[in-house]
Amino acid sequence: MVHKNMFFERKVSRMKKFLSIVLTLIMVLSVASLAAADQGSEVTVGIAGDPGNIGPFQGMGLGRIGILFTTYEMLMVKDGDSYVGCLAKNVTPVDDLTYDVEIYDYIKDQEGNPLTASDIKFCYDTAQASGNLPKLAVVDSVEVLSDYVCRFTFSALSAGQLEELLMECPIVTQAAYEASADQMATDPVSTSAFHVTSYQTGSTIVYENTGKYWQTDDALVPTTSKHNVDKITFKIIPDTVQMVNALKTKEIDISAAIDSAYIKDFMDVDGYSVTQIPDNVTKYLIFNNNVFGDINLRKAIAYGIDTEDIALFAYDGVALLAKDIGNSKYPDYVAAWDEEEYYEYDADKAQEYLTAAGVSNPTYRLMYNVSDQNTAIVSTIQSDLMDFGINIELIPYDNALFGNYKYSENSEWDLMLDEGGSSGLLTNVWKLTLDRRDQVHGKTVGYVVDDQLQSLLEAAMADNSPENMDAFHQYLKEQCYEIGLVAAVNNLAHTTIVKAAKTCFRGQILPGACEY
Amino acid sequence: MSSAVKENHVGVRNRRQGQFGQVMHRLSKNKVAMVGLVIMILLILMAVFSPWITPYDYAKTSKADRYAGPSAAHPFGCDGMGRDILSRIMYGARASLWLGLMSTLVATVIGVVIGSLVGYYGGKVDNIVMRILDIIQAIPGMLLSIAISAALGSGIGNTILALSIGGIPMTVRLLRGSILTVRKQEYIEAAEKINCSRFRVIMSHILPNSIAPVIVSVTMGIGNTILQAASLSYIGLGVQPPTPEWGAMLSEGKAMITKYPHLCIFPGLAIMVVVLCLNMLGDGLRDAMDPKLKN
Amino acid sequence: MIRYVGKRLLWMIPVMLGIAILIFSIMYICPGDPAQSLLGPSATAVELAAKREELGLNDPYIVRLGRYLYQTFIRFDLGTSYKFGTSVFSGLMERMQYTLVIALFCMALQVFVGTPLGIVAATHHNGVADRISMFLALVGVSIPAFWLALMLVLIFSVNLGWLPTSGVANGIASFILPCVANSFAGIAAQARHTRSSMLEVIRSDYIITAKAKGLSQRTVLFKHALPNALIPIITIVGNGMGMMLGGTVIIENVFAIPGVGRYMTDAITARDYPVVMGGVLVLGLIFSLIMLLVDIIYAFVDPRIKAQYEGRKGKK
Repeated sequence: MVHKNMFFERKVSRMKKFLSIVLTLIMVLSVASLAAADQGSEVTVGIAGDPGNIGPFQGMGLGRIGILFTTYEMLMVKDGDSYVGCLAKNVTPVDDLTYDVEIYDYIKDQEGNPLTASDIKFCYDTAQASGNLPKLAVVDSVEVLSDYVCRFTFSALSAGQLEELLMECPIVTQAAYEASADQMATDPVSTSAFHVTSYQTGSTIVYENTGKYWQTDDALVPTTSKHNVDKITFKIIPDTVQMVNALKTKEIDISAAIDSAYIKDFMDVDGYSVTQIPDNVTKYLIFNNNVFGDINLRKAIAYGIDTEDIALFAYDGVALLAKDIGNSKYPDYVAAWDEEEYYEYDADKAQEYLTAAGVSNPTYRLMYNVSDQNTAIVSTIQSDLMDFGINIELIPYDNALFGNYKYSENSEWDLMLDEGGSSGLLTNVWKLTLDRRDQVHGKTVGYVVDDQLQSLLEAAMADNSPENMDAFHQYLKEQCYEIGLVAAVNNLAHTTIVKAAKTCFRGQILPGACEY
Repeated sequence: MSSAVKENHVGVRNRRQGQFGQVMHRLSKNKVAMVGLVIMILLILMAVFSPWITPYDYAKTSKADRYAGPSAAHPFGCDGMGRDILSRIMYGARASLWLGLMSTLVATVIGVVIGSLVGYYGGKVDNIVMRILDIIQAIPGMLLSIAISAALGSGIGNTILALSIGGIPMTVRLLRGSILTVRKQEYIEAAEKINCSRFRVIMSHILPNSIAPVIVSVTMGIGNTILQAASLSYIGLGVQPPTPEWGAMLSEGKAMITKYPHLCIFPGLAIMVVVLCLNMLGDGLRDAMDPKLKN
Repeated sequence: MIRYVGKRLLWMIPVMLGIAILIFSIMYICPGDPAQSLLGPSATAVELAAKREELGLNDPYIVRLGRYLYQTFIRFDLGTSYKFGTSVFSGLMERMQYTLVIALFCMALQVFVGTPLGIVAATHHNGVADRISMFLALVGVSIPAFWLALMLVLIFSVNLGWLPTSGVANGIASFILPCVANSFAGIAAQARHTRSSMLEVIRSDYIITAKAKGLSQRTVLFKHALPNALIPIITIVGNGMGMMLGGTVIIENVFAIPGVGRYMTDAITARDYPVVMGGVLVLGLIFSLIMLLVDIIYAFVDPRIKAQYEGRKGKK
């Protein structure tokens, strides 16, 4: 109960104290009322994002993650916080950049085609050629050694990257893929226990349990491949209020997209229960170094923003305050950071640094990607900084425009609100905006050219050891090029048909794995 | 048709007094229209003086007042950041009224000019202009707005441009439709025969007899325009927070509509009052311009 | 008249070409990146640049335009959606069925409820009936569609449980709330316009004459007044129909209906170029056809307009 109060405590400050505990906890807040659920053989899931093309070799657009693990299996998957084999039985290192992957020899897809090593090669080659899964660019070649063993050769590999790459590409048989008229865009045939029986684009996707899942040894079935239900219907409901209404009328049984303001409607209410899972996607603020060349100025802003206000105004208090641009959901996150001081709101320090920087009444342009949450976040920042005479002019853009200006050489912005998350390591998130090698213009996204930053980042990426991670973290914090703000908590609300909700590492529902 | 011709003579006789003066005189006798006008003027005054008369600072957040319902201290309640909704509506009238009225005005003026030309001249002009309108109308408004913002940049002028473009084709089509029915009537031919200039024919004979549908559609459309202004903020046009604006207040309150309905109700009411007043005024204006109701 | 229609149909070729070039140019100058929404937020700048190159987005304007026009007008292929991986044309048609149902139903409501309301208001000018129906009409145009939609859901779905909250899975029941919510503003506009043009006509001499002849109120109203008041009403209906076939984004979003509006707006947001350009062309064609139909109906309703269409030809 302590933890329940935690989340809904208006005094968010208490959250910090419990931060590290909470991050690893999954909470079921109300005990399901014991009304026996009828059958439990059917479940309807409400999702907000439209998955679009559900073919195997598509980019990770918004909406896709919601259906990914129900539709496909991969060589390895992330089960909870660690990677486990799914199709892969063994992964044997040959040398640093070469690995032999052995798959089970009795895998069959939904149409009965046996899955062999040549299908693995086919999938990786096709995915690479599609350009939709750019992370696969480091896969030099996939060689078929025998019916069930392939040899992966990589051009470069950082710590933890192997597992990510083996999860990146959904696997299907070549026979089934080539038999599909639309490259499985609407009618995939995979090795998953669930087969798509109808896909009405933009509206519903229905999956049925084939009853012929290949993996007969239950101990070897990862959470993502579990199949505790006979029929799964995904309903696409873009409107926040309507998602709530659909759950209230029980048109859907479970949703991970209930707005935090409404989550209380399902908490401690008969017939419903709520599960809250912290997300690793963290909001952070990037300084444009051309404008914020003075470190005092950056720190003035950092201390002037009250992240507790942000958590309250943008997330109804249900959010985690960040200590980096990621949180302890990442395996390479150093737990000790949670105990350290970060840029907690401090009016005196903010004023001090501002005076040191010698600017008065400046106006800065803050660019952000429009969403209800982001609008509330930037409004809070604006209102907080107003107290120090700092004016913030907002530049909102929709997703496509934001993406366009974010990496552009000519900065239209002085401050940028961005967000980052990864299926793998925290270094992946750092790298997105801070690795100069990833930018067309050769600077960081915030136009920083700092060789020490770059070398510390490369060291951290090479082995993700706590020492190297900490070195980079401390340097970034000290230099204040970017500051983490908050991470959301995924709110899962469900009817009591669902006895226990299970999610993937991204906080998306795994309807096959839920208990009914 | 004889009466129309006769009225027309009346119009010619009173020319010295000015058609505009006559219309205004008749309008001033219409009580309903005057009520609409007075409320509109009050709203505009409220907008102009809002920086000095709002009870609270429109941007002042307050943790304690989040989602507070209407009370003596905050008659319209507070929003999700604890900002006073009454103050935000008062201040928001500046952006909303300015954008709404100006873009409607721009759209109407351009629409009426094009509409009367194509309606009057017909033939090739009509065909070519209407086909161009077909082309423009096929392009989604959202895209046009993005293109405007990309090509011309942000700013209030471009926002008005983006908002008004959508209204032009409808005005043209409505006006053209009614002119088609009037332009072959005897009094128009008569006016042409006595060598009235084209301009005069259009201004004093054709427009007054065909403008009614445009007035109706303009006064009805204003609410929609105010709402649309909110959707432009996504592409960098429109008004940015913390400056309040009615359409944006409504869309911000949308997610909370079942929990805290006051977030939507009050800005919604504000828009409704404007639409109502303009319609009362528009009705009066139409009656005042109708030559058949002269006496 | 037939020559007029034929000529107008021929005109559609340059209009379509114009739409294609205009929409292509707009998409060309519109900033925004399809690669971003295809690869998702975890793609790096370099990866995005590679995807853009692959999509052919870095080619010069004239090359891309040529390619697009060739594909569209010579091969009659609208392309494949970036996001859905399926043909744009079939995607549009699949979604058009829902949009069509809503559009037709709403238009029917608008015409058969709005028009009588307007006539009643006009014949009781300044009376109680007039005031009530006009007040309703004003409320109708000022209520935002999403507000009405969500209120209807709250009453009829959440509280009464009669109708589904969203989706299209329940047949006709799925469409009742969206249609009612969507048609409210249309009904209001229709009533206002009908009233306004009826008032105009009722005051004219020939109606006074007809009344003076002792014709019944009914005959005067439906035989003499209504036909002469029809022009603005037809314009409104035609325009409304054209707009509605383009889909109503707000309603489709609230009710999770996979209609044309959401298809197009999502495509605009994601810069799914084939869908945007293909969709605009198809909708533009439909719109032009409706406008042609409107002009033809004008001619049938008002012989003077017909004379103008044909007269022009005679003179020149």
